[in-house]
Amino acid sequence: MVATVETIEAVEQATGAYKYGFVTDIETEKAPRGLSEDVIRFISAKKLEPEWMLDWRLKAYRYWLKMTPPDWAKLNVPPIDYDDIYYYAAPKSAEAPKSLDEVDPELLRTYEKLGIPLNEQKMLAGVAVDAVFDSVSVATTFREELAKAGVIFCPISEAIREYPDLVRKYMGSVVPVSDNYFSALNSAVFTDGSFVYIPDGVRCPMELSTYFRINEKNTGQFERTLIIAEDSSYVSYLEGCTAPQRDENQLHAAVVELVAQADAEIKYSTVQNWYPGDETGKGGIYNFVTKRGACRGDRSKISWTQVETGSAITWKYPSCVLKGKDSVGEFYSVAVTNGAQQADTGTKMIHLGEGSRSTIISKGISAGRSNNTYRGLVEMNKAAENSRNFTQCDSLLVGDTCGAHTVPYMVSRNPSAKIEHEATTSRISEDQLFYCLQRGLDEEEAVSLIVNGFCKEVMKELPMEFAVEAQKLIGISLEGSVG
Amino acid sequence: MQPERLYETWADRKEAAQSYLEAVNWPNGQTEAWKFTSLSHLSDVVLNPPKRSASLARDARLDGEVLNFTAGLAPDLAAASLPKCIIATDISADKAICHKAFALLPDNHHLTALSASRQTAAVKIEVAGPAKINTPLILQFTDGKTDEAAHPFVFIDIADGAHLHLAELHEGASSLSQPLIFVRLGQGATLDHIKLQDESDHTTHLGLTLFRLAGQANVNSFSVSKGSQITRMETHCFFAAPDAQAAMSAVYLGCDSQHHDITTVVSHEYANCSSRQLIRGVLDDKARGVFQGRVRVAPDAQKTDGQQMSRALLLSRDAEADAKPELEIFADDVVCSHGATVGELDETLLFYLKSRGIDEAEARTMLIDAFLVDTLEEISYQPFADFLRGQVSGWTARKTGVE
Repeated sequence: MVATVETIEAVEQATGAYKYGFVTDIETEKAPRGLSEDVIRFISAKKLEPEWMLDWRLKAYRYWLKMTPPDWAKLNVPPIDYDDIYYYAAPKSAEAPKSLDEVDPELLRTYEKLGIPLNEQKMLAGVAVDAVFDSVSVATTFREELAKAGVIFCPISEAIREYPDLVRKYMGSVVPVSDNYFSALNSAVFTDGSFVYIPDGVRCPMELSTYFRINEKNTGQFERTLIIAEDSSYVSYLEGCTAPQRDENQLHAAVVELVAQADAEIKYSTVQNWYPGDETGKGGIYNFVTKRGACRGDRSKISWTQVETGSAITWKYPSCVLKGKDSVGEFYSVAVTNGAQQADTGTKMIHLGEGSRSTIISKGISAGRSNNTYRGLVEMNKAAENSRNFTQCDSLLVGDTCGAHTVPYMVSRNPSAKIEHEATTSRISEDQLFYCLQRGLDEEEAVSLIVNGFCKEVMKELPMEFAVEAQKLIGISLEGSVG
Repeated sequence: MQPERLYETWADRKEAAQSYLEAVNWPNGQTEAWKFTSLSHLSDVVLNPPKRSASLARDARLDGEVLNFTAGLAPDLAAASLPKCIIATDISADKAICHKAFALLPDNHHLTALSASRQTAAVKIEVAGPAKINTPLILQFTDGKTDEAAHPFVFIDIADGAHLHLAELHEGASSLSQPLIFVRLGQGATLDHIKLQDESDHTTHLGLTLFRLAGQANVNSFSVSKGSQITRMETHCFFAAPDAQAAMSAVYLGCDSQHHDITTVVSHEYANCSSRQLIRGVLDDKARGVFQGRVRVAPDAQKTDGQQMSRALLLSRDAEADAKPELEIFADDVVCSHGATVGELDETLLFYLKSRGIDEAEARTMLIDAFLVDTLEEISYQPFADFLRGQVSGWTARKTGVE
């Protein structure tokens, strides 16, 4: 504790924080603007982290200073001023609306279309929920049930304190600190995220969702998730939510690491609907995420499913390192871009083990003036005897002012490995549209129906909790793209 | 593919190219366009301008009028007996023509910058129309020394409605061979083109051939890469008007520790054009093959038909095949597709042939030939097809020991 106070004092002295209204109180909610070693010490101290964690963060920061942002993606990213960002800010509870009447009616209209129950609407809109919907007690019930099964599911900051051996062993083992610019940044400044540990032979009794995690509110822009599935275990994890999410933090750089041991299976589903910005994309979220899973054990399996409809700029490649013999990697993705959105997303399947298999199904839908790129790597290494990959990338263009791009990378170092790639680009045909219209559907319903048919193969991979809402979401995301 | 900057004079362009090269040096895996092919080894190679020497006589394997670029230097044009409608001029002194031609080439591109700053020869060939010329024009690039770099530039201007059979034979021995061939096709002009890269085994070959097509023009191009140590063979096709067509296929044959990089860029800028590419590669020993193919469809290029298919065959455990087919599409009424596969010889087919009494080596030869033959059928001019078939079969036979 003494060390914590000292650190805060050090930060204060180093930054001359008083001048800028920085309060020394231990209860302070904000680190000074900008990034420096002292800010990282401050975050670490706020989180009551052990020494090794701080060292790890500082190491990441020093790497990051030497790195340059990636420029190979088909994205037009305005320069980001990393010194103009608050890297630590606790949630501002005082500003929460008191009832739904105070919430933006546009937002409520969308909730209604998604079919979200009233209580959940309140929670999503950030209305103080304690009186109507006790999320904490619900979550506690869940936690008890999970504890009975031996599953650990808690915020990562708690895991760093409670299960340091596990965290030390696995954190950074899948996405190394120096992996890329944004993962290094995240490693230096991450504020929270989830930690999941499934012991040997346990099938997690429920779908885990960030939605029910305590302290979920405002995990902030630098989220860190670590999921470990021990031998013969199974877990399904849901991230995000179909409801539109607004956030004052423009830059989001999350890191997700998955480890599957022998015969284990991890299913990771994401629905991402961050604020895409206005007509010109102004004010929208930059979603620069590093997600990677390691199939370490034989016959292990990792399956990524994502529905990406939000964010002004998406840079995201959920990957699988298939090290185990006969391990399996899957990637199912639907990416919808409209307005001025830009998405460069895809996957990497790194085959190291004998008999490993991977499947990639990617559906990109572009509308408005948006650009949607699939970028995916399939790599067959020397030992990947008889490995297989199948990739299918389909793009759908809605209108003639958008762009749909496909950039697959294939590396084969083993003659017995097979890589197959197929890509098509098409548009919604006049015939399809006409048929729907003459059956009494209006144009937007027709587009929604056709697009949902186009991405059916991916949607069926989503857990029940998400599937229905995600279908409606795709329709909503394409609103205003026709007619 | 359009220039991003306008240069007043050739000198400006040359200076910009030089500063570009100084800034990027030799590209390595860090540069996206050179992700699979690194040129960093060239930092340690002595690259002097070539000196004139007597050319070694070569067998005539292909009928046609030959222009021989010895060690990357311009041929003796006065001595060439070209048909009346083909006029070749040395433009190395007339930079205005080079300048005009380069304005149509991609800017901030490593190979055009290299050519602009280090040219060792510059020849313009004008083909008048519309009489059909039956004699193929053969550009032969030979000789060169291990401390020399050859940077010849050939600008071919095919008039409206004219036709040309063009063969590029790269069989030199310079340390670095960097030929840049730019062909501009007028309205309704047609071109049958082949390119053979069979340089000596210490050579780094960085060839760039560009086609620029006016309306209704038609290109049928086929490349074979089998020689040199490190090869980057780029072919670009720029549709500068509607209703044109291009077929650009290629075969690479790699053995030992060779590196073959086939890179293509097709830019559909106008409506109703079609492009078709078939790429096949066979890799043995420790060879590495790369195919990068970009098809860009501009917003106005409706009704574009862009097809691309690449397949690689690995014959050895140490060979590597990399592919990056890329579609960049901004128009909605288009049919574009690309496909790619990598694998080994099919054991069941091999077994079938062996069960019919064909020995292993011969069966393998037959299967490899079969794998390559459908691409060779793309070549419409028969003498070209026969010539390249001989080159490909010769390689396969040598590889499998069946002469």
